Amino acid sequence: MEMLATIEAKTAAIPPIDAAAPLKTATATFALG
Amino acid sequence: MVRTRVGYAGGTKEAPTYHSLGDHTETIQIDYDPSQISYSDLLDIFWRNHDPSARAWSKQYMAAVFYHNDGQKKLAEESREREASKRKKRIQTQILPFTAFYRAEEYHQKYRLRHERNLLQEFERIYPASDDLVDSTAAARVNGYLGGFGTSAELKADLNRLGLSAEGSRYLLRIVDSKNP
Repeated sequence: MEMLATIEAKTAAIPPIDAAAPLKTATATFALG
Repeated sequence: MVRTRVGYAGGTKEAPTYHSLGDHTETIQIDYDPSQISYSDLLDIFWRNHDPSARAWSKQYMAAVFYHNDGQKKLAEESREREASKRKKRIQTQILPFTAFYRAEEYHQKYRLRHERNLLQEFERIYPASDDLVDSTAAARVNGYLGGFGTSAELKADLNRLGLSAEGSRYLLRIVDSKNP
């Protein structure tokens, strides 16, 4: 139970924008000099 | 934009570091949601934010697009041609195949955020592991606002999604208000 409580607390603390991050993304790599 | 990280790419040295970079180039890598922003839009931002006619004095600081697939290659090459005819100058920016990316050391990541101790600590409490903090969209957004990108109106619309305390939110808003009211 202690572990579940820890996980729950961590999940609750995650910023909403992170929790809503799309699962499917594309990647781009740039060097700006 | 979902995640950002800085690191080293384009070279052959295994596991490069800032002080032992080998033949790598300093890069930014972005994970984005293609339903929200296109690769062409990212290329536009890329061209607007560097001088493509400037000669690179070292491979470390060369300007380049590292394409991840044929579609990105085609769009990158087309965009370089457009820049060349628009600027009427020789373009030094390279279009190269992506091979590998090595994350830079922790102290290079989310650079602006790292200089705001109170805000950084709020994210460190949420994400004790450094890589998790680097991969946070919220941390990337806050880093961008601290860098002077985004207006206070945009921040106000974003604020309740960033996971900051009331105090942290007020602090960030004051900074952005002074930079981009």
